[in-house]
Amino acid sequence: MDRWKKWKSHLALFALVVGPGIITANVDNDAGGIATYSVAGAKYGYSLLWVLAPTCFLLVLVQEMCSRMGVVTGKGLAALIRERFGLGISFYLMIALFFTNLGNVIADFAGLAASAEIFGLHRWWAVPVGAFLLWHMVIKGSYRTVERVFFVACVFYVSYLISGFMAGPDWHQALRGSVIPNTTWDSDTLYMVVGIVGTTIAPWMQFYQQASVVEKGIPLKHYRYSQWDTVAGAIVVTIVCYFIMLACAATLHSTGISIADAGDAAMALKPVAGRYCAGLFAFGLMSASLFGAAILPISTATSICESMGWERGVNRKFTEAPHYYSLYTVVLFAGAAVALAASKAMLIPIMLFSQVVNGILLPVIIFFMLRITSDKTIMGAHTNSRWFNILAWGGAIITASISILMVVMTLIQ
Amino acid sequence: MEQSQTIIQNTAADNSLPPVVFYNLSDLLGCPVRYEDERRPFAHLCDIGGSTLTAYPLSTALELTPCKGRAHSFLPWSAVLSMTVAETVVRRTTETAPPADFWARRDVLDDQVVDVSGAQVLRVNDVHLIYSNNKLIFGHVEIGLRGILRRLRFERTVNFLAQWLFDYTIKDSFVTWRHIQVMSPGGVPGGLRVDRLSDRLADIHPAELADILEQLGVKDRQALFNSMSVETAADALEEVNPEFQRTLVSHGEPGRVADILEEMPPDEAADVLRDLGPDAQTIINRMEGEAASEVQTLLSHKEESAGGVMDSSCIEALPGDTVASILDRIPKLTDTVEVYNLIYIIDENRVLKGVLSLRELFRAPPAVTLESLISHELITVNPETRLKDVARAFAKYGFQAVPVVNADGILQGVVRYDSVLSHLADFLND
Repeated sequence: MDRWKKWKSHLALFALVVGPGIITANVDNDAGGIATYSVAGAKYGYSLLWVLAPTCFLLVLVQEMCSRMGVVTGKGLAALIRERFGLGISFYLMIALFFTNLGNVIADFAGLAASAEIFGLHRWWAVPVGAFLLWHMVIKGSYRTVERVFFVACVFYVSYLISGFMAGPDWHQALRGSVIPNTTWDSDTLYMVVGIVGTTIAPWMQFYQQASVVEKGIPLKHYRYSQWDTVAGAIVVTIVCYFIMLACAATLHSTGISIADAGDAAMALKPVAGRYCAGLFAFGLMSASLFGAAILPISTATSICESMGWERGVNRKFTEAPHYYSLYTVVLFAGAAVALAASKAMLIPIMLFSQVVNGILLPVIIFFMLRITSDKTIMGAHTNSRWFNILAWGGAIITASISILMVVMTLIQ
Repeated sequence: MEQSQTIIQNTAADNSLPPVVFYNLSDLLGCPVRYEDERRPFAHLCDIGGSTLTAYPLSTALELTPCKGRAHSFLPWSAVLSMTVAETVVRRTTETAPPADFWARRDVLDDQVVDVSGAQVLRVNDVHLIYSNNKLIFGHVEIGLRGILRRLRFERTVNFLAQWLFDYTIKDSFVTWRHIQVMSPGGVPGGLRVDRLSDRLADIHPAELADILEQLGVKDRQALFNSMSVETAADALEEVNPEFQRTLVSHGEPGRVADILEEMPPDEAADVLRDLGPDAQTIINRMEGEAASEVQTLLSHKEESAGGVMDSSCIEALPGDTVASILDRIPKLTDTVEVYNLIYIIDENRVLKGVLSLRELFRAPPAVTLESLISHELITVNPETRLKDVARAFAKYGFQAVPVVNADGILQGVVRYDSVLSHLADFLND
């Protein structure tokens, strides 16, 4: 009885704190992410499933630092970087963040267009309506409503789990592939592995999660629950990736169909796995795209305003925070416009550029985060422990070298 | 470099006055520092420390990055012979630098400060210093785009383009130091100096204080909150967003938080505690008996019901009391009750018999008993009545407060018009 009471109070506190980690992790599975996982599954079958577990670990490592900084300082990552490293660095960092986030928004609207067309909606109809709905929701709705909408949207990812099961994977092989790294290495495979890690850990996530933690005002003594939130988010996102790869591996890999993006994957699933499986996959893609396209512009505007000292926050009115809403609007509509106007061939160099900036930005940000989380005057008693530091530097070096590798390989290809 | 310093030429008439030079902190930082008897610099300027004894702080110390080695050194301002953006000349001294109240680069530049006049939190893009008679005075903080552009070395280009294309000059935006409160002196977030703060923030309206609190980082926020008097803190806490209320309260020391909550109307205090989880009980236990039990009662009801927002104290009278005796008592009660213009008549079992307004009492002959004045029908609500229905009762009857009675007709408390309004205001946006 007593134990049950204790659990109840744990759960009650967790319910207060939960959100930032899970929402961030789920937006991570946006159109770009789904594309990468689908291609990985289709091309390499079950053999790359093992990559997901270490990626999940790295994700927890990085995101935990963000939410810790948010809880301890009550400031966003952009503000901390400005205070600790000055205006010059912050300014160029924000420019890079702006472009890589814009690239992500473009990818999301392209994903929305692709999934809408699978359901028979024309892209010239779906993208403008989607963009306007998102814009309206943030400008007119309060933050609480917006967050609730996003939280519910996370549930739509279940559609990937279902489509994963419906695809009828070979569980024996899948389990082997998840545990034993039995991969034949060549430059293509390496590029794929790097791509998986690179799309799973993206720079905007650190800014967004920390900002949400701050906005939620989580008290330090409940930080433990925030850690649970981060871990839960990372696990959920990994499971979703797993099932996307599984669905594509079970159907597309064995029949040898090659695909280039998530829209292709959904189309290709139709004849092999059935209409419902493909429909669910496309539905997941649509909600993921909308989710990403909603959050990334908010995150971009928040980070830049925080760094430059402009008024910000979805709780303020347009006239109170003009910079914030202008940035938000520009990123959202520019993303939608490029996704609509650009043909597939034109989108590829844009995406490559965004990926390169992404890859350069991530190690820099992780380096700053490690410096800040090791700084006693900022973090007080909550600096990284020695073991954490060893793990974190190790993880950071791996993540950094992977993302630099990705840049180099992108440029070579 | 030269163009960023403006020398105001003194007219021949007041020749005796020394020249006044304005410097930007960003131009001074990193400039070479040399001894008067040497030609080569031995260090670079790293930071400037100031004293907040005056409204416009004087520089009291310099922090230097040596040309060789890594250990930073500190110099008292008295060692400085001259300062320009090209170089600073100092004499050799054995004096140690006095401790500074704040350091310009570490605590002000790029950090958040509070602008007391505008009641807002600002990020500092640059600091303007006034150099005159070999004294360095902190004059303004720069908060606008121009400061950002200057530090990024785009000022001239962007200004030229803006002039040429749009005939627009990018304006400076300053806040005078007189209105500035440095938030994290000593480089320690939350290391706020209370004594300095009290005179600058004392006159701010609670709603603006709440605005400031919401914009600060968690440590500065808590430090500011802790530095307020219990009364001010209670007023500010009422105005703060629910999420921030929760953090302020759960980070605070329970005893002090209990004192602050006692100062608040019980229904507001209950709202603060409602979402706090297990911490709420710790704080209630520290509250004074009566306030604690009121809050406890409110918490036992649902937030969106009459019981959750009612005040449990109101002016009560017996049916046999005379008008004169009750009018006599009212002035003493107005301190402790929120609703003072309505008198609730209850019998010895606390069953509500009627309500009289002050106006009715003033009009009645003094010797009359209250019982004889009760005329109109009694409108009441239950503790479970939903706030929307309570609001309808207010709209229909035009009351300022409505009594809450339980199933046996026993008076539980009163719901004020404004506490319903503040709850319903949350729905107005949706």
